[in-house]
Amino acid sequence: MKPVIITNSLRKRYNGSDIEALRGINLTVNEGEFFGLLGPNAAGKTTLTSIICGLISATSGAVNIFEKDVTRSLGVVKKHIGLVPQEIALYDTLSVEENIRFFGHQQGIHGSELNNKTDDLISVFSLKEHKSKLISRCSGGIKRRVNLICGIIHEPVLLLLDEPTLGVDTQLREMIFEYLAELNKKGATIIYTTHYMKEAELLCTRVNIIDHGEIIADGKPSDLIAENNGCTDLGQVFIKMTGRDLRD
Amino acid sequence: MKKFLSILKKDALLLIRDWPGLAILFIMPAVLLIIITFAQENAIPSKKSTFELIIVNADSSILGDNIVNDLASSEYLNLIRLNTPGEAKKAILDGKSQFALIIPDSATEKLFNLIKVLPESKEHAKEVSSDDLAGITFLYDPGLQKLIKNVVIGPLKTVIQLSAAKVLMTRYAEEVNKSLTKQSSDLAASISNKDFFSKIPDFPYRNEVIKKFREELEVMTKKGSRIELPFNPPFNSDLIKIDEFIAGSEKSGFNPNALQNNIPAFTLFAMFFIVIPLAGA
Repeated sequence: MKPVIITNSLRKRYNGSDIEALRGINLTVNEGEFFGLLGPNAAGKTTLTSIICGLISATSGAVNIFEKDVTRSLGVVKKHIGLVPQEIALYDTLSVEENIRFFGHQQGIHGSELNNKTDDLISVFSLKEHKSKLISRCSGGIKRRVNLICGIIHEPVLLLLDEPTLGVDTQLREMIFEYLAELNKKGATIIYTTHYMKEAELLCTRVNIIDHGEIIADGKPSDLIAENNGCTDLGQVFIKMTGRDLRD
Repeated sequence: MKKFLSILKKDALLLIRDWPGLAILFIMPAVLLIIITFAQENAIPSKKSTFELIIVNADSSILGDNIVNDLASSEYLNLIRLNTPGEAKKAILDGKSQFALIIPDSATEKLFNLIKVLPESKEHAKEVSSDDLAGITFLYDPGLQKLIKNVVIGPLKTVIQLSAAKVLMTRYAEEVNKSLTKQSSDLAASISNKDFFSKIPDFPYRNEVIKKFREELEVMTKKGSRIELPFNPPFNSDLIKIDEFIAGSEKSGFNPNALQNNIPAFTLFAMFFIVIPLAGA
């Protein structure tokens, strides 16, 4: 399989911090994978995904996406990346439809194509009766759906999702899983970060466990479970590898 | 371009729907503009073309009357006549005017005394002390900006000095005329003395010539010699034509009011417009 993302000795130290957030990450994500990035709080997951998206720069090391150096070809690369952040990144005083259309415009989709995609996604995610509602007046579930739509409206070939099911109910979670699985089947490469091990076990074809800025495990969920004696699920593997200490 | 237009549309919608933000954006700087304009309007009155000057003329003689008449003839002043300095002070503190002019009762006398002090020649020059001078007082509002005070009082001082100069020169001319008249009378008297005519040698028609000369001398002595000072017509009309223009404008006399002059307030208005939407974003 062709690698989509390759990081080489990636390091990141934030200004004024003695601790490195990333300590020489060597990561490969292949085309068409549903890749899980797991780790406790402050492990470096968000830092890593932010560097991959070009939101922040690394202290040292390299990131190649689609065989292009991100630091030099960010504009070209960004067109093919979709980001669904952990925080709701929507405009409170715009409606559901206005948010979707705005982000569609920013991704270069205009006119009838934008109209069609907006209508389709609103329909798929059951937002028809809420499309004129201001985001500030929507429930958490609706905001999550719209957040997701804004990240995928341009049909990216590489999709990064940072805890997309945070605070959503079971029905919505299932719907999101189905949709992402469908996207992956169509060829999208997905990087999925989550604290819910069951989700990762269910969805991901391969996972990396990151802790204290380093990758401590890499493999299929089933392989990782098999390799760790006494573990029956990915959650137990995770606890075994990262420990029970509480994090920041 | 389409991306930029979509950003414009998005920001316009955000702005229109943010009622508290719009209120802050418009109402606060508007309130500030109004407050500053009213505050400046008090210091720089823009609608009025004249300003009130309180006058207390205790002199009631030539100098006091001349000063009052010269100020009254100005198109820029509106005189309020009061009787005492105490009334003038109260009127200022009550806000009826920002300036008052107090002319003491000895002003004319002191001015005329200067003629006695003034020397007959440079060798006899004496210094004029401040006690010799008529003391005219300006009262002004304690809240007045120093610059405004200086700008108003400066020209008024010049007018007062000119009035005093006019009065003094008129009086001086009268004194000189008196002196000249006396001198010419004395000269005529000495010429009329018999000893003077007896020294004239005999010549044909001697007596007729002497008689005619005496008659002419008498006529001249009665007529007197006077210095006529050309004060009246030129001093009652402008000696120099003075116009007012704003630099860069072809219009004469255009005077921006306090609102139009209020650059700081408009600058604050613009700052609010820029900073608040950015803060929201």
